[in-house]
Amino acid sequence: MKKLAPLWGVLFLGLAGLPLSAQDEPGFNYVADAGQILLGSAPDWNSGATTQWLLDLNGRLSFSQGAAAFILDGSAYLPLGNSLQAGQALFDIAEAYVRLTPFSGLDLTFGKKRLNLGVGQTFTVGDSINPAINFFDQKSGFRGATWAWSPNAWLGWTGGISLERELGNTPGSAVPLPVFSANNLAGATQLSLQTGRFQGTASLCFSPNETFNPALGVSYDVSGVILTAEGAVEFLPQGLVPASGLVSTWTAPTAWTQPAPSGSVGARYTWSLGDIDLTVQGETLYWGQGWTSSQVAQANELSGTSVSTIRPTLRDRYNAIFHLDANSSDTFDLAGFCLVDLQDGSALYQASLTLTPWDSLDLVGSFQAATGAVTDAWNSVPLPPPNTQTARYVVIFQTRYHF
Amino acid sequence: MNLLIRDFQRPPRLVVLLILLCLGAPFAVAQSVPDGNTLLARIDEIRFPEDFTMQVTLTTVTQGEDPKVMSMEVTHKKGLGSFLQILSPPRSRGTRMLTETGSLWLYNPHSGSNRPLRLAPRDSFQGSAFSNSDVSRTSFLDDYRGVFEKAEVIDHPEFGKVKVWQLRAIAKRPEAAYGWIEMWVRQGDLLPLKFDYYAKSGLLYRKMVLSHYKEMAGRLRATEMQMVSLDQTGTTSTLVIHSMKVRQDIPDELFNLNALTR
Repeated sequence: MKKLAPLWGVLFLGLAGLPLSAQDEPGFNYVADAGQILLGSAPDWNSGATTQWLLDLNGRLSFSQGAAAFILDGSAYLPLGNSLQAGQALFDIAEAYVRLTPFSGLDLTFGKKRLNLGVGQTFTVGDSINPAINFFDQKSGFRGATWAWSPNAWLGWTGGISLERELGNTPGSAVPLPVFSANNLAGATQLSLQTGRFQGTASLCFSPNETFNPALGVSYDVSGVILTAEGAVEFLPQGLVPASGLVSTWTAPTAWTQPAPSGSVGARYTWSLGDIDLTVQGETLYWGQGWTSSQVAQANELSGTSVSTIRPTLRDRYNAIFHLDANSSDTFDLAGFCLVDLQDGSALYQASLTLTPWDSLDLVGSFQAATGAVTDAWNSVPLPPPNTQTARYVVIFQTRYHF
Repeated sequence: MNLLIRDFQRPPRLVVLLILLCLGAPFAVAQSVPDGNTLLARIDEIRFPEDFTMQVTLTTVTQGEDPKVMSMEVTHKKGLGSFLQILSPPRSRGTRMLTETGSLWLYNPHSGSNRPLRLAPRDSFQGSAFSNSDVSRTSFLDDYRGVFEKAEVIDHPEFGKVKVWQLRAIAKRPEAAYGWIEMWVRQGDLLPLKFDYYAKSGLLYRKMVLSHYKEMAGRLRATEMQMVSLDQTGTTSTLVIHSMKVRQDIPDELFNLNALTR
């Protein structure tokens, strides 16, 4: 790294020079809302609900001048009590990055950012939602650098390098990884094509010795029905497999010898019924990539149980997703969502009703629940931030004012 | 006899003129009524320039509810599509839409994701009486072919009784949002005055009146378009164009999905 220091310096000065040479007027844009969240949750159906009351503030701010911009997207949560004690407030940063545009069509970012991969609306099999390397989930983003190059209207090339593990975020490893090792790097790149009713993506998630996950995605509009299909193959071992079919002995397959496929297909359609737009969406997903040997080993080490007893919860997954939404002229939105594990029958349910009595005010009521037993895939629902726990069910009432 | 022969050889000038007028009349009428596609192209020219940016306000009034006002900036480039950004109200601010031939994408910064959502062009635009394609597509000629129907006189809120030509724009591509559109243009300057929108099933479900003609971006254009939805009972949306600027510097990459979520 020391040898590279001058190079980093030159790069920094070069990039810093971009905004200085810009003559454009500075710009500022924001999207923001504030509100309160009253939630009740319980770890099982028979327990009484625990309640919590929070104030929250969400914002996406953008400062720009010439070829440079700074974007901050985050939330602040304050427990509503008689007094606020230090450490009680939580700030959640979804994105915070500097964007440089050396020439029209090319964006370079540095900081924390989400990166889109694939065409799936709910899940994307190519984005490596992968505990093996904890690369990223498209909703949470990652710290590192990205690029997006759009040479014209129909072709795009995007990508990113994650520094999460270089920065010590190593939940997938039994032992801390050495800092600043090339083997820690993880990244993704994608070529995307959009022409008429067709959209296609070819992407690759990669990390040395951990993942090599190419994927293809297509989306097509057939008379208003939006169809999507995606497929991905992981070529590096993502989990232990029973040796010779014996569940008592688990080994990691040799790299490149047992590619693990994943795939999804989906469809969405909207009917306009008078004042109401009714949208129906369905998607089925096969996830065949499991967990990594290192993570299973960690779980084994921590729990003191054998791998074979943990493995059943970490198997390949078949899921089906249903989404129903009724929306009327921005006055109400009624949405239902269901995610079912087709193997064990467990499911996550969510229903929400949003009322908009005035232009800037939303009233939201929602209910989420999980039906599965402890060993099933969907046995709990995550509580909304700032909580990190899960529950059997969650009831939420929110008011939200946009300004 | 000689006289007769001479008369035949040299007909009186008045007779010649009358004969020429009679023979030429049908051609003169045919030339003054352009064919349907030419009319459609002129309607496109009058409504919007080829490459431009405009600031508009969309006001939707639904029976029993307060009016909803939305302001937007729309950038259009011929052959590529339209890029639309909502400026207000606060709950929609920052929402962007990108439309290209046969596809429509939406990015909502309030959604907690920067993944664009693909929509169908024929769906309602933000709960208004306009469809997504009404707001984002500026050329009829891309999706429809024009057929001249007849000449007639109509009442118009701005011009009163007006002599018009009626034509029918019939969908020529499956991506077209409507089955056909009946259009009325003022004879002479071909200003579009009124459109009736029909579903592919033949159902009349939207009616639009164009008015408040003003000099804008180099020519006389309608700055107000009032759309009445017949399937959304009592819903009327009015699109007012506040400014319009012809632009030659719109980069192609503005119409890439990467630009939608940047």
